[in-house]
Amino acid sequence: MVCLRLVETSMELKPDQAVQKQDFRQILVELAKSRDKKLFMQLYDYFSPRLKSFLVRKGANEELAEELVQEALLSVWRKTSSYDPDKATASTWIFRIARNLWIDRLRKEKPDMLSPLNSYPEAGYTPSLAVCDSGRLKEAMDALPQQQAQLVYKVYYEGKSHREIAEDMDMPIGSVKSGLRLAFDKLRVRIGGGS
Amino acid sequence: MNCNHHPDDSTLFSYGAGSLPDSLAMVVACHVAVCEQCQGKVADTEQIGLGLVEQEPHQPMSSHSRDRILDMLSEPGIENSAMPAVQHESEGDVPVLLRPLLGNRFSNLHWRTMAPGMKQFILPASRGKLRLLKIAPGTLLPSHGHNGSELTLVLKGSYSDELGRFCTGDVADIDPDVTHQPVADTHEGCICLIATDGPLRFKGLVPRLLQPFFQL
Repeated sequence: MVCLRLVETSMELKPDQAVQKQDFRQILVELAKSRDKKLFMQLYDYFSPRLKSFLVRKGANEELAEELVQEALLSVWRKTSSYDPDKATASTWIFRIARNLWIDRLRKEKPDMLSPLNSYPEAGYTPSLAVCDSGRLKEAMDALPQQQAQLVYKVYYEGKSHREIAEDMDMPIGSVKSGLRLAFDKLRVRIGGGS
Repeated sequence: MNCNHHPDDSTLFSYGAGSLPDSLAMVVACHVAVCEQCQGKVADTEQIGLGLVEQEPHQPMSSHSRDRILDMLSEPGIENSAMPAVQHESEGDVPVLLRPLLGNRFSNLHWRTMAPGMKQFILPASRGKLRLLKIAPGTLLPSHGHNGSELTLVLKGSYSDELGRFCTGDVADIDPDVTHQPVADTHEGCICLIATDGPLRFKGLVPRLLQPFFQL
């Protein structure tokens, strides 16, 4: 799998990424030892606007998104010693922390009573070492039939549930699920993941 | 754990994207924690998600946030304020993720009887319903369909229905058009974690009348 190598190392850097040539995986490993705040701020500067855009897309307002970004990155600072560079790319690891914080936040009632997903050790998450380039993903997205692309869009960019999508698009939930299934299959094959 | 039934790929896809209602996400999280195959797929969805985020304009943080996090890093105690590690090794039959709420053992819960051979325990969820269901051996549940998604994870024992036999760790990811009638099929009975995103549709009049009382 080749996704996101550009995030990790820097093959096809966009202008705003030009300063980010570091291997974030290395930075995380280094941080666990040195506790160097300057080094941490490199991660912060790179990931905070990306995490914010991810959370706003999920439906967080500006204020909540920023609060969760801060919380996620503080969590990164605290947990660097549990980061295993052989198991996950830095970006997958950091986004997983942010996503789990978001899901935890959704549980408004008695949110403190359920175990935060973030404190759960996720043993053996296998292929996240793989990295895909965003160009190939874009090609794969462009190659999807329009309706499947729209389903993917609604899941990732609008944060909608299957039921909400079914209502939006006036189609049965079963069709939403089968469309997503097909799209997921194609995207996985294109980024070199799936079977 | 070797599971025979998994969440649908579309469910894993939405889970990885952070777009499942929290009730459904909890069921998926409990399954993924023990299922390597699904861990792999979720990791793939994360890769796709990251790639899609890269194609988006990023949203700059407000100007003071950088200083604020630097301040926070300097606060005394920041290093130790991480979440306490979850106890793994301690004994119990409740999934680790649910222990802070339920304790370690199902037998200590205050189950509420719904019908002969059927007890439930309702868990907090902000979107959709999340409950534990305990079915005595041989008990047949009322036949029902769904108006939304239903995810069932077997935590103990097993059950069978029109779709197959579901054992500990298995997930039934049921489309709304499917009507099913589960029966607990071993001597120890069956405990399931069930999330629904939309009310159930019962065929019989009696279960329909009882529906409001049990928040079904």
